[in-house]
Amino acid sequence: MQKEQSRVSYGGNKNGGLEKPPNFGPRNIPRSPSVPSLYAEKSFNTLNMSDQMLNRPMYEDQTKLIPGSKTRLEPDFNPSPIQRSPSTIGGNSNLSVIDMYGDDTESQMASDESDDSQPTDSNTPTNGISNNNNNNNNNSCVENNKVNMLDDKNIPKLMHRLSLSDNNKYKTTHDNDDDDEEYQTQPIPKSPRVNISSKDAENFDRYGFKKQTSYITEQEYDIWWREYYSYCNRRKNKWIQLMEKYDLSANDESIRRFPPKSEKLKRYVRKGIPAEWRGNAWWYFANGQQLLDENPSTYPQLLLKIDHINTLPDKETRYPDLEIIERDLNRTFPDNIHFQKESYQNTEPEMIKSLRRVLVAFSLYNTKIGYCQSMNFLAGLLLLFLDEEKSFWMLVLLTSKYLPGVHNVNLEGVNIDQGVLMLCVQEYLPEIWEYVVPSQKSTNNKSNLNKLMNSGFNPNHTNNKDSKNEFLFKLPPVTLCTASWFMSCFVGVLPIEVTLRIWDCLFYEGSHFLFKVSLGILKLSEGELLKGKHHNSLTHYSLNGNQNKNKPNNAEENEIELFQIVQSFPKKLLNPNDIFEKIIFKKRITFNNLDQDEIDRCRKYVTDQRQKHLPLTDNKKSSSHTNINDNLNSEGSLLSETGDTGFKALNIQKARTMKQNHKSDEQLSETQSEGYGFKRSITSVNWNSGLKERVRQIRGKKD
Amino acid sequence: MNSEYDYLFKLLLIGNSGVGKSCLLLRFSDDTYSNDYISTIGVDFKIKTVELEGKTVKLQIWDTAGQERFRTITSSYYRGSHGIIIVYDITDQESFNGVKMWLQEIDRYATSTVLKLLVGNKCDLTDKRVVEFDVAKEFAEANNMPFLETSALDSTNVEEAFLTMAKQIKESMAKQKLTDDNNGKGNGNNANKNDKGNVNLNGQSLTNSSSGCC
Repeated sequence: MQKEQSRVSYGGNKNGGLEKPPNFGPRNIPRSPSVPSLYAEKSFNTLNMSDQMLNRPMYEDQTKLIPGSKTRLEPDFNPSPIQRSPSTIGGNSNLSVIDMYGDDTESQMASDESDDSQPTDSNTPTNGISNNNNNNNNNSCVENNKVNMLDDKNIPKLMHRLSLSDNNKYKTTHDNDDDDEEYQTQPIPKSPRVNISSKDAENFDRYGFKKQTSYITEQEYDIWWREYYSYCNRRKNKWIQLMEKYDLSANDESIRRFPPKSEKLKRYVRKGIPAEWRGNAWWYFANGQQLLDENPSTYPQLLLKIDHINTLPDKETRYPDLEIIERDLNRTFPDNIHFQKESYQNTEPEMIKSLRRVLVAFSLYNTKIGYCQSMNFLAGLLLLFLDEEKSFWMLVLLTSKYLPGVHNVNLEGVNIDQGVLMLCVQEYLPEIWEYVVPSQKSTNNKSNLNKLMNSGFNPNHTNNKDSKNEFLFKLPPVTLCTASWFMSCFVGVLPIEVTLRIWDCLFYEGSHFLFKVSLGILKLSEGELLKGKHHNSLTHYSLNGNQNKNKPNNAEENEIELFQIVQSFPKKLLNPNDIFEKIIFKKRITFNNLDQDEIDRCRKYVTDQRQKHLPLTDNKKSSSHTNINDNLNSEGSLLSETGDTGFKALNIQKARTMKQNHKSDEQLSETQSEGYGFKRSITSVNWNSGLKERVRQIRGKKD
Repeated sequence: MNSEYDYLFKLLLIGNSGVGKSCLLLRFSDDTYSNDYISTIGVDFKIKTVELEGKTVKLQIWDTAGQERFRTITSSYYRGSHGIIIVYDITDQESFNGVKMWLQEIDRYATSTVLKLLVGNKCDLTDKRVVEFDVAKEFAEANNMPFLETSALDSTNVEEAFLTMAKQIKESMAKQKLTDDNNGKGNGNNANKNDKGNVNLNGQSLTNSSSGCC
């Protein structure tokens, strides 16, 4: 701000003529004419309203706006970051949806769910849910219509965290038993309060994001949401039942504990954590509390330090990250109501202030990372679900445990993860691999043989080993696109509901889930890619008719095609179940066997490979490798800490299998130039793709 | 995908964070301007086909993240580019000072024949201007590259900037072709290099640089 002012004074007199409004540039608050939003309507369920809630200042003038019946079916997302919000969950058990869908007993539910990929009886409502994307579309649509009849205007009104000021309440009322004294005397600053007029609420989703994007129209959103909304309701009811089974209060948003890890819970998480529990669930599964308990005064002290820094005249030269953070604050979620400023407001939104504090605090806390663009998205999304301090610690966890080294100054962690992703693509998506590394194709016309070579299984090709691994230290161009998938954990890459579902799994299962999802997206986009390929081969032309020219040109076309699809395809993936039902829950999709162990091994392998090929003088990079390994180790240990016994047992079993079938890590590093060997089970045998297609067709018919 | 084009040029947008690279690209490719834009992570990529002197030119434009640390990963893209547009913000002296550093990056990573263009963006913000036109113009001339001031907001010179770049590349290719023709089409590897109409990307393109050894 300061800087901007000085600029004004510098150039102010120069061009007296045309004075345009300074509405350009990142420092500007994004203003959209369609968003004159001001007063939030909190459209929530009257049935769910507790006295407590009504007493909260935010809701005071909104209570009269609430047409109970209209919003009755809305999933209760009350994004109050902390558990302090009064319950809005219990009311939902009244929902007729539940009855309509005939929710069954736990055991039935569980068995239904585990059979997602099986053809199901379309008359079984619960199955209808999980097979929306198979053949039961009609059925579930009908049901959804029934549901929605109750609410003609339907649903997706804003259900915002209206009052982050609860945070403050939280601090001052000592609600958190773990707070130590110092912590309480340094209350975390007040958090945002956002009001949105009911008129505008229509344009935003339940988290305050504009429904419409460059890839999705509002109408498309509303149509999809109608269905997904009832899905969310059904899922929430299952969660409530599950929680009750474990004697965990589900009628209270202040739940801080969740059932112990199990295959069943994993499935529940994969099907989506109820929106209003998300923040707490992430916090719980990522074991954030432990970190906070161990460092109760860290964040408050960092805030003090920030205050001090703000008094320094040369703060921007001493802390160069500050300026970059400043530039990104309004470029994080310009389409989210919580991050927007109204034209008549002089002060910036509280959420922007929180975002600034979290990012600056982090840059001071971890000087090795400082601030890296993309962390604004991570922190921004966290702040929608957690209070400032917890968001800070989750950011710490994300950048160390889940994405080790990814945000470091040299971004070597990005390169390593992209190398791992490329290994996985080569192994599991050979068709796409041909697009990723097209030069290999042009050397060989026999695509089958080529595939074999590319997949790296053929022992006869060991002489080719160096070039085979070249992509690990000379990453294919597409990785610059996919790098952002990891850096921002899909925030801004995928539509928000999909991103949240991925975050659910990320914190429950670990970072390997990001690889799975990445492969899933590529897999889903395969159709589009191959369509383009077909087209290219038919229409490709060359002005001089020289056949040899076709190849490089075709490769270029393919590269463009790949880039376009990799960039735009994810943005159109509105429905989370497209990726979950079609990919993640499908046992026959081979890369679903990837687990954290495998990804960690891959990371280590790629790290070694890259280290081997990097110039020896590059000490900076080498040192970061060590750090990454440290981080990896810590990830392993953290995982095992949080993992339940079943999880561990599974890992041990896997490790045993791995040892039997493959080289140990030591052996691996000795022979690393021979290529990475993925652990394979019977299910991960690569099928003949023609046969696979036929089987799919047969299954389709059965369905 | 439509393959109907005479030339395919790869352009790269670089410059400090927040100078408006993405906005320039959005204005050029979609002729829109949005306040709702987000920080670019990694690269963004757009395709735009333009007519240039009777030829159809397909421009493949890469928009890169501006933060310094991203240079380590974006620099690998320099090699494959035919043209690089360096963008600064006329209201931000730092971003203009940064141009020198960006030029060094180009020297380090791009092919020697790569064409450069200097663009001072946000020229609509006249009252906030801190980098004078003449200063930038002089700097550009000293570094042997054309210079334009643009505004993604009111679209001043945006198309011109990209077309200037494209034209430059086309001319340079024609020149190169002439030289190659005079040299009897060079060595065997480059036999196809400059066949008429079909743009030569050998030796410059990302995909072919690695296949050069085959």
